[in-house]
Amino acid sequence: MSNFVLDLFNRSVGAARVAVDQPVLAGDMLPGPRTVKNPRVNHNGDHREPAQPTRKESIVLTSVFRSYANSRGSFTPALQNIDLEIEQGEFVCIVGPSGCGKSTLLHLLAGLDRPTSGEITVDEGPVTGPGTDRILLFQELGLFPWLTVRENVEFGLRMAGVSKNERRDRARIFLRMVHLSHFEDHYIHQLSGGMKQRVALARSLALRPKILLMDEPFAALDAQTRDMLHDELERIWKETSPTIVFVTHNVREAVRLGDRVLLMSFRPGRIKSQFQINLKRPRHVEDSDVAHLSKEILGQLREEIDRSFIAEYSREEKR
Amino acid sequence: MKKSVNQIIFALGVLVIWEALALAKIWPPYLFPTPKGVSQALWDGFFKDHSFWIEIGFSLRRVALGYAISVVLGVLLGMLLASSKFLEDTLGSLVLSLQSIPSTCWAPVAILWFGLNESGIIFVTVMGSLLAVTQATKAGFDNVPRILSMAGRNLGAEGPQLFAHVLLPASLPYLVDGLRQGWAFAWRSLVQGEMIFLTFGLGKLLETGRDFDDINLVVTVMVLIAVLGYAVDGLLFRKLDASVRHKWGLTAAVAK
Repeated sequence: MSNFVLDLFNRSVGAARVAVDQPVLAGDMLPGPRTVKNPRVNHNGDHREPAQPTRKESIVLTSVFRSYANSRGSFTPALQNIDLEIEQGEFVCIVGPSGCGKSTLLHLLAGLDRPTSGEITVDEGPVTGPGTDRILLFQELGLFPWLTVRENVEFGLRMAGVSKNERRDRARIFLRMVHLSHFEDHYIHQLSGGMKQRVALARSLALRPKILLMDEPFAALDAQTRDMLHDELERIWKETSPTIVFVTHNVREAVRLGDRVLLMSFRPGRIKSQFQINLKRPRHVEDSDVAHLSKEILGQLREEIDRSFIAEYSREEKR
Repeated sequence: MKKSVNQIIFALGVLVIWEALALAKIWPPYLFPTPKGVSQALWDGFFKDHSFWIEIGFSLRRVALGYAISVVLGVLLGMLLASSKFLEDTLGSLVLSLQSIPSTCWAPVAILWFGLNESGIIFVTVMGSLLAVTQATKAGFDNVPRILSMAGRNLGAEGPQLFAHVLLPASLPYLVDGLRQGWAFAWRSLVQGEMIFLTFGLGKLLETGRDFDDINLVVTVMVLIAVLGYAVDGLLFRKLDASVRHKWGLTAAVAK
């Protein structure tokens, strides 16, 4: 972990100890390094500044293919020729019809799956397996039912051999960040859907990953909870500055959150087009700018959805 | 509270009907046990000649040893079966087919291999429960949701860590079921073994009762076997099961 992050962390622990009972947001305690490093914060809706030479590529995919053996003995291509560069600290959203390989892409980045061909590098090192610098927030969450909320959040730290006290302190910071301090001793099944979602988020953040991969994390939630979590995610992103790759089927959500939105085509998944989202933050899903941009992206997405329907129907007819 | 009241009323009811049947003298007294005869046998066995303590001591020691062996071997074997497709296809089918052999069938083998001694009885006990534990352990590991092991790996757990912190706890509901079932099988197999080996224990006492045409003793020993089996289940497993169910949120959806 870099000195910067350690320092940040120590300061936040210190501050947290002072102000235990106040409903402080961790962000108030964290000095704002993003404002130095991150031009986005002061963005005023005009076009994004050209990438500064100091900004580094965090993730680079070079001609990545992934195909799976199917039941008929041939191969179904899931991802085809993906070339992609994502900058450090960038918030990238990926939209596409179901079956376009969005989740596959995240699994590849997380190292839980390997590309059939092509290369994936993270911070200039090739991805060869899972690593705690890249944490994937699964759509199904994958929370551990035998652990309490706090123990779930501590899990990654425990695996990394962090001492008990430090683990506890760090878990508390992130539980406070997602407003779950009062539920730290609950078991997972005692929580609502939105709360589970936030536990999973805290669990992912507790390892302070450089890259946060999110697979339709808010798809199963009601609109109000989703709105709230959008705000929280955006705040946390500003505070802890990870690179985020966020997969969704909801275009509004993508425009609401992303610096950039990638549209993927129906199977085999390719990156069909990209959109820079230069709208001022904080945004809201109901903002007219967001709605306007979404409409444009949705038009292209619809073509892909139509293609996916045609593909499905023709398969039905063949039977 | 309500549960124990119900249980007491039920027990009293059974006693009253039993006594009425005994008083009616439908069957000759050497065939039909009476509440009085059974109480007498209990009193004699526990407080006059103390034989019950000795027999129970023997049985419990044997079952503890036999069950412990089954659990250790069964969990290891179950893990092996779950870890490899090859072992599942080969050893797994062998385990499945052996499971249909009643534990008493192992007694002749045990006598030939070990002779009429403690090792023989314990062998029968182990063979009775080992495969149930094996099957449950395998089922437990097979049924760990893929998402949990992926989440574990994603959060930095690999190899032994993944096993100890994700796979093992994730399979605990199955494992507890299997251990519980294994216990019931071990206890039954032990009594069966003792009836054949005839060296101390509750099983031997059953045979003694038959030899002396003492229906009261036979029924008393059966009651002891049932009560002990139930008590150990309650002591060892009911709490464990309840705590696992509570944590996992598996408590019955319909309140009983």
